[in-house]
Amino acid sequence: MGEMSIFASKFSTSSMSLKDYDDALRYLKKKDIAKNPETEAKIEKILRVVNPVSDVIQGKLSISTEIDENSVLNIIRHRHEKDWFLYKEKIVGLDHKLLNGEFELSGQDIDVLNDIGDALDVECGTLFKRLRTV
Amino acid sequence: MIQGYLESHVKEQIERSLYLKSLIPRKVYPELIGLADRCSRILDDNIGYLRFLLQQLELRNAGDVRDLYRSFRVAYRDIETVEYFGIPALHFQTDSSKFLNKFIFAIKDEINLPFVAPAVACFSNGYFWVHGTTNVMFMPIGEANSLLHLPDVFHELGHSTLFNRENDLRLGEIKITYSEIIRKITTYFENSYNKKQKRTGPPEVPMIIRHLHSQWKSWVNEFFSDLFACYTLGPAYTWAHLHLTTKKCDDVYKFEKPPVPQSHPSDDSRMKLLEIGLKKTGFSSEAQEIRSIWDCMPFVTSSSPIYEYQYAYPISLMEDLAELVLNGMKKSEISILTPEILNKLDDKSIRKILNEAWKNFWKNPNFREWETTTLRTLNQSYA
Repeated sequence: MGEMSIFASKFSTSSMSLKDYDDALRYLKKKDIAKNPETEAKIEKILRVVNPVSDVIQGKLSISTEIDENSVLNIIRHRHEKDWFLYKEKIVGLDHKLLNGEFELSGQDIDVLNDIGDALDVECGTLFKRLRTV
Repeated sequence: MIQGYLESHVKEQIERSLYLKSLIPRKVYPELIGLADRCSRILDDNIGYLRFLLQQLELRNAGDVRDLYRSFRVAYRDIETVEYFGIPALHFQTDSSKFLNKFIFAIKDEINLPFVAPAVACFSNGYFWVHGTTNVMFMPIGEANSLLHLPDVFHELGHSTLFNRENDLRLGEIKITYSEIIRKITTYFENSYNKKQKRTGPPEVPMIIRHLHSQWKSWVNEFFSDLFACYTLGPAYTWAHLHLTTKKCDDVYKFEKPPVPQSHPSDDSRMKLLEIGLKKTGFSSEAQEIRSIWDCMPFVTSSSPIYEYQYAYPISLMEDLAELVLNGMKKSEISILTPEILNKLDDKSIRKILNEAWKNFWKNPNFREWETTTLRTLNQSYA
């Protein structure tokens, strides 16, 4: 069958993940947020992107199907080639922090989250381009 | 300055969305109402979202716009999605696409799908494919004049079913099934990975296993859609797979080594899975018949898989997948075709006609004549 169904489906799930991710990031950037179900839901949205990427860095097989974690990781790695050895630890550290329910983000955390968001945006753009060039 | 520039961009996109909305035809035939409504809704949602981004831009300090920029791009792509894959399908309608729209709506009823059937657009240059967001099935312009590849519509409906699983309680069992399949895949490859790491052997094997896990998470959509078509339509879909492979496939044992991704599983693996599916629904003799022809085809007899291929399609995983999908579809009350049900179907049933088409193809020397008459009758029924 036409491979476009696959790209259309991948694009749709990745794009939805990115939208949720950025909405959650905007929420977590706010000052004075409390630990409540809304905050937990936002952390969950962020983790849906960060956790699969962190899993690959740690050599685990990720169960996620919402993003292509290998593609996203390749984009981040390419952009941080020079300091990759140190940079990847920032992603893993942030993943552990969020998994532990910590939601107060430092400036460095927000920069890393923006880097991951940018990589997912590039991935969405690539998938969309595949669809347009049918 | 950047804020001001982004603000102009956002306003431009709002204007574009409003213009696109004005392009949605006021009058469409019933099978296209869902598409017209969906296009409007996606545009409305994005207009609202872009207005929200405008408010956010006003609150930001200079340079603090990375997330807003990404969100703007998400909205921009959504709007382009409607422009490229939604509205044109409403504009470029022919008698053929009108027939196929009604035909697919009838299939939806026949197999008891809970969601609105996709609208059809006959200007694809990428064979059959479905765009879930706009809910449009793209088909080549000539497909309305032949019955042999129409079974592929059932495969695309499988993709639509997966796409709709998150937001339709009536597809709750499909959602559960999908998660269970992903867990099975991950457990299988985790175990293989751990075993291979402990043993001596080519060092690249663990890397291939990791790559295959990632591939399977993508291939599962294709496998699911194949099984969906096999379980709802029976042998006709498997014949269509053989027919398409004969026409288009370059390598039935295609295997891309890591890190190169392969969008579809190999045609050999898909045939193996369809064989399993046919046997599970009682079509064992048909499975055997198709297999005997497949095995004699030049694309099988003149090629062989590379060494690493042995790791790609474990039969136990394919058996599990076929069983899980069958149970999930049954629980979702999607109509499964068995030989007994096929025999009892009305002569007007699309599933009956498509299976008859394949029987005729093999046995009737005047197949084209039969096909033309049948298509004429179908066109009258779904005019």
